[in-house]
Amino acid sequence: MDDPTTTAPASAPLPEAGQAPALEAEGLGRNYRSGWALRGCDVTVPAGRICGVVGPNGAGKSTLLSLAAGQLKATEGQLRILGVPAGAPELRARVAYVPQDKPLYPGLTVAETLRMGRELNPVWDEALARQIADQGELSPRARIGSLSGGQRTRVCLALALGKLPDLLLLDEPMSDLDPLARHQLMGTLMSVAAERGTSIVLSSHILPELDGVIDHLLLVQRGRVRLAGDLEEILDGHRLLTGPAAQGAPPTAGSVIERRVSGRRAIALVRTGEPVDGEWESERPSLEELLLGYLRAPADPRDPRDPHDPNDSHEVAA
Amino acid sequence: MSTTVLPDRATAPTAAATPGLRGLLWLTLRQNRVVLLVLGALLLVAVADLLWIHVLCRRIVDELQRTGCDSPEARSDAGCWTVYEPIHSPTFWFVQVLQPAVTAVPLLIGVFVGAPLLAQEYERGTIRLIRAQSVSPIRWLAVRLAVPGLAVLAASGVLAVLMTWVWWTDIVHGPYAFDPPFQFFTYPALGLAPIAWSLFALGLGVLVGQLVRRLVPAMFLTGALVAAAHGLVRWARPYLYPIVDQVAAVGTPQPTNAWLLGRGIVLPDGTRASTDTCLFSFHTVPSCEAATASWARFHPADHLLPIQLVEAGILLTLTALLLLAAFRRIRA
Repeated sequence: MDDPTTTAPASAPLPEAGQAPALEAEGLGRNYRSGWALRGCDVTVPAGRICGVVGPNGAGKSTLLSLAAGQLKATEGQLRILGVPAGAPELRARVAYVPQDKPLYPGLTVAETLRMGRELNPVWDEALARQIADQGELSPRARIGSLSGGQRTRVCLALALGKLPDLLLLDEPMSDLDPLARHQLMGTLMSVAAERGTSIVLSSHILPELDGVIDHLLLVQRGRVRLAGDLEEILDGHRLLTGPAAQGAPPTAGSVIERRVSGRRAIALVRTGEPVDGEWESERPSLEELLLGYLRAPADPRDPRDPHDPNDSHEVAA
Repeated sequence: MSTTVLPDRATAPTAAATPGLRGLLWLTLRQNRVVLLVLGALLLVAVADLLWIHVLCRRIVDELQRTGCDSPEARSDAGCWTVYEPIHSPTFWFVQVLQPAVTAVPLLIGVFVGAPLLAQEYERGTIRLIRAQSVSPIRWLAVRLAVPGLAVLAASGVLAVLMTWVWWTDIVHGPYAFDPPFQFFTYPALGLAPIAWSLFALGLGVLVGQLVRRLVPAMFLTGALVAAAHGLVRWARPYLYPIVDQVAAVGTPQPTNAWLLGRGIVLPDGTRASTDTCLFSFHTVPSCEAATASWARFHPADHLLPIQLVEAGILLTLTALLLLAAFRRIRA
């Protein structure tokens, strides 16, 4: 917990102050037969946030979301969702979850699937669920088994949003959608979230899909959380430096996350809030530049149980 | 799921009373539509078939009585034989087709109803869809099992009652007058056996499906396990109830419809020899002519009910344990 990036920023505007955090993990770990999928995860996502969980395939994003949804039990550590231990019965109606593979009953029709949502949840917004399905021009009488991947995603999102959850967990929600549908559904998602103060945690490896959407970031790599916190604060805490390649390491007090050379120019992503003097051009990185910088750099090679020290320069690449 | 845990939802557009039983029942009935229709159709065919056998046998019995041919001795008479002969067709159908088919019913129920029930939920990932709804998984499983469970109970019950009735009135006590109850294909189609075995196979299939989590392997494994359990119980069946051990004068006829487990002769020194020893090793054993009495170990026909009760008790206990294991696993 001494890592400043894994604690919630105190200055962040909390939309509903006093509310329990949407997600609060302490030393959270999950072990499979093949090894640890997630370990030593200390994260707090305040309520009302739209949190992006980013990382390469197999980093532990789905495991984190499954744990939060109560579908999996943690091997070690604590996980509280909306202030209640994950998997508690009272969370069933308050948390919606769309798994990565978008499971649905192939024999049911779209209308029957939505009816299932209505029958199995105490609160149900039929109009909202219908609206999401209708946007995709889905025939209510179409069988789920005959739908395309993107159409199934739409039905899954309709089911998840229809129960009006306080926390929405979406695992790679947009990967099957065409750009138009993606834009449309993101818009619906955002307006519902803004209207109801719903917290959303969504994982993705499609970086552009997150830009302008998320306001909280969780970077997961090889089962460890490398970066967590308010997005603006994280971006403010990093600099993208460009300078002559011959110059060597950029002069900075912070730690170099990643450095690469293209032609005679060197580009480095540095974790520091301070401006840099000299021949280096300094600018605030975009979300994509930040994420790519972290994803390109190898994860902590040392014992992953050690928390990262942000002032240590062991993350230097090249 | 009371609305008290959702204080901020006072303005929610729709607030159903309790999600659960009604919705779960609808979902389960919808999902089991095909199973219920097939089960119903097959049951209808079997019932029609059994009624046809009964009507046919009745008509022949009436005809035999009307012509005075109802004693077995009269059948050597050519005229009586023509009246009696049509009995072979319904009897053959009952003994050679229906009884083996009913024997196979539990296996088919285990493979096609039990095994897919949870294996498919896990294979398609829909168990996670259900877990993401507001109903408790325990309650969901209870309804998910109750619908096919009651259907299987009702179908096997109707089948068992009719099979037993036709066997009792038209076959074993009818003009054909043969088909001892303990035979391989007769016993499992009588009395409580079809019901107990069907429920057991269903429970076994459900648990196997939950453990294997793949549809096709679960179906094969369930089939193999039901067949193995059937073999095991058949082997143990004579010991489910005390065997009658009878010593009688040589030449005493066998009890009718009994399950003969062993027989032979008692030698003058009081030792017993099996009939086989008598037949094949007359050099080493004193001649069977010297027998003072004959012995037999058997289950008389009236042991059918107690043996079936003990067997059904064992099977239903096992079924309860299998389902308990399935419920314990769904909670985890």
